[in-house]
Amino acid sequence: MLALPPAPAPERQHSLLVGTSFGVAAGAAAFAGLLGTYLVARERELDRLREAGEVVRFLPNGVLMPEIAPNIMLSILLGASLMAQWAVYATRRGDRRHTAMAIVLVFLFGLGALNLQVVVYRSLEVGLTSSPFATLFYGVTGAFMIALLVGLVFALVTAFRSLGGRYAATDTDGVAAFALYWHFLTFAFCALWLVVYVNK
Amino acid sequence: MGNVPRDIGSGLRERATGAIREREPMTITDTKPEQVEGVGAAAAAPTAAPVVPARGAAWLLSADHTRIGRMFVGVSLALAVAVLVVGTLVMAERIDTDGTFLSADAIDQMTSFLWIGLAFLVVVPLLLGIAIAVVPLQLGAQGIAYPRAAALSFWGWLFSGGVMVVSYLANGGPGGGDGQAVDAFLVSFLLVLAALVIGAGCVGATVITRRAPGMGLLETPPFSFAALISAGALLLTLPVLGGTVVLLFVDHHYGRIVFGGNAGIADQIRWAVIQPQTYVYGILVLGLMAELSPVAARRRQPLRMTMIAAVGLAGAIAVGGAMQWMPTVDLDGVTPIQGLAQLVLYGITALLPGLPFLLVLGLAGQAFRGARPRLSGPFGFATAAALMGLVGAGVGVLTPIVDLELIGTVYQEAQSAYLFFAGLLAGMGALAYWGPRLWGRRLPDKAVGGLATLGFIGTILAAFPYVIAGFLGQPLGASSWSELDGPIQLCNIAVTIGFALLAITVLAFALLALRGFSRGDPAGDDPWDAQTLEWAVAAPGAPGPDAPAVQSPEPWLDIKESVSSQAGAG
Repeated sequence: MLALPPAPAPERQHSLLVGTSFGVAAGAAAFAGLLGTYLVARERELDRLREAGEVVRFLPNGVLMPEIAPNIMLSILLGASLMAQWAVYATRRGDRRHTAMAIVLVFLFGLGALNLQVVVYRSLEVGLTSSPFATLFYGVTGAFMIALLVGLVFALVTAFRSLGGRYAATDTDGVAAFALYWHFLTFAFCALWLVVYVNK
Repeated sequence: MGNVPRDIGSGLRERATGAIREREPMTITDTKPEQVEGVGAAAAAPTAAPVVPARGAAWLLSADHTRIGRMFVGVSLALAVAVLVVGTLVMAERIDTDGTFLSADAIDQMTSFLWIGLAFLVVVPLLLGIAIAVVPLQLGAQGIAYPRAAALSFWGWLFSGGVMVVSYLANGGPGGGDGQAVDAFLVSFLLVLAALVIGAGCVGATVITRRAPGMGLLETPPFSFAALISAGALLLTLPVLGGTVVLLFVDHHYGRIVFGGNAGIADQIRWAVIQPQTYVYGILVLGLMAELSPVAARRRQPLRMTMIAAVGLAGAIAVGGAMQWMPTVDLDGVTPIQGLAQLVLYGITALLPGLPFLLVLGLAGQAFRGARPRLSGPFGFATAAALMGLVGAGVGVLTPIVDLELIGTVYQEAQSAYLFFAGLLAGMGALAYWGPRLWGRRLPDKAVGGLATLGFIGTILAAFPYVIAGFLGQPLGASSWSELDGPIQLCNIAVTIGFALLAITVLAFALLALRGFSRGDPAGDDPWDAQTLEWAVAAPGAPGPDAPAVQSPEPWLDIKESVSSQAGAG
């Protein structure tokens, strides 16, 4: 038989982390598409208003964009991102109690963000089909709500797996993947906040 | 070199997969080794009598990457015939404006189905399916990363692709007249994109996480490396289209006040089937050519790293280009800075895409210098595909120049046709090449070579006349244009013949594959005298001996050379 040199020891696969990275990249691209389309459609609508000699304003007349709720939402998501990273830090130190606490906090922060999005919807008081702004606004923020719901499910699963002892100081992939997803959510909302709430 | 003992190896496969599984807890998306059919199933050595599912159920429930890949390939080839028949009808309609045999609505729907179908029901899934089937074998992995997600990718694509076809039949494509069918089209299109992105993610994660020990990223076989680059490019571009489709659906379903209702949909998604996005679909064409040329030349690839760099460059250019609208070059009345910016963008999106094709073809030629080549049918397909990709990139150089007035003409269709048909030819070549590994039987080489020639001629006929017609001003999708006569009529006749030839080629290839892979001659373990790891285990999908330790980009060639030298010394 042919004598072959021994192969090096196999490295860890990091499948979950790599898969989540791909998912996050795809999610970021999807939000780029959403926001890009939003901006193009917004510009087209403003051009139409200019040509028609009407008031050049994307928001329908009498509608004011809420500012406090989106700003708090941004702060909450930044906080959630921080908590998610704390979970990774605690897992690396083998601190299961703090890991669980951090993940639960992320979940609660996420619920808070979801609630604030509903507050925004209620305070806007525009129907989905009332104007181009409304259609685009609900489309973009609705997509973000779905991403947020996925994040909440991810947090729940990670919390249960953490409490079940699936993660250790030498195996933080699951928690790191969870944190990566929440960083993505924060990043996506930052972009959304700038495009939709700031750039009215 | 062909007679290599099959018991060589030092347990790499076991170390690469089994050992890792012992150390790491499974993720929720992993499949237990004993649940993977083929390689994994046999390797798992069940202690109790296994429950053998019915043949149909085995395919339906399978998480085996070779089965998933083969299902992708089979369905996309069948759809290719349908799409090309539709294409033939659309092109025939353009020959004579007086003798229209299709309604205006039907023509619009069929034209849209032709290009959307070619991209997302044929070329991308065909190449993705081959990657799903082959890449894990090339890497010495036991299976694909996220096997259930890969299965979801196929079934999701099949279901949503079916709904998409039905929605077209119900007059629901972009610009269609039936509102509910248009909604169904948008939802199904979104799901098709999601399924393809999931499949691409599985392939990319496999290349990153499942390589055999000793196989660095740059030592991966060119096809697998191209699969990684292609997966990345698809992951970064298709979701952008998905985001747009979400807003199109919300608008169309509820209000139709933002994008102009049915008529506005095509404008928003057209970029997915024209340059520079078409280059994203051509990356695996380069990978196949880079894979097959050293095998055909029967030597190691000279300047292999340049070949790998060319594939990587193709990905960077394709994604960089696809991230923006096709920039146009119009230097009239612009400032020098604006002009410079236009030229830079033009360089990236129109000039550079040809470079990787040139490099790969040039390096393939370099491999043949002084070699004793063994030309084969699959290599014929790969060469035809790469050449068509190169010509397509060349055609794309002129499109953005505004003064030439090619935007909005069939010239753009010619560019897309070159790239899509390059992908189709590459898919058939890849199937003929790796078929023996997947089915254990091979196709008759002369027949494959003949079909490659026919496909090559068909592609030229289907694309090149529209380069001329584009310069003559034939508008995109025009079937009732008043000036469709003279040279333009000849162009339309030639394009119709080209589409028909391609339909015949794909149909003949599919029938040949169906017969050859079920009742053809046994292929043997290494029918091409290949160089990479997928041929180091017994075909098809049997556990075989463990693969050797990977010490170079051509591990199977290393083994064969080592055995030959030992036999010579003995």
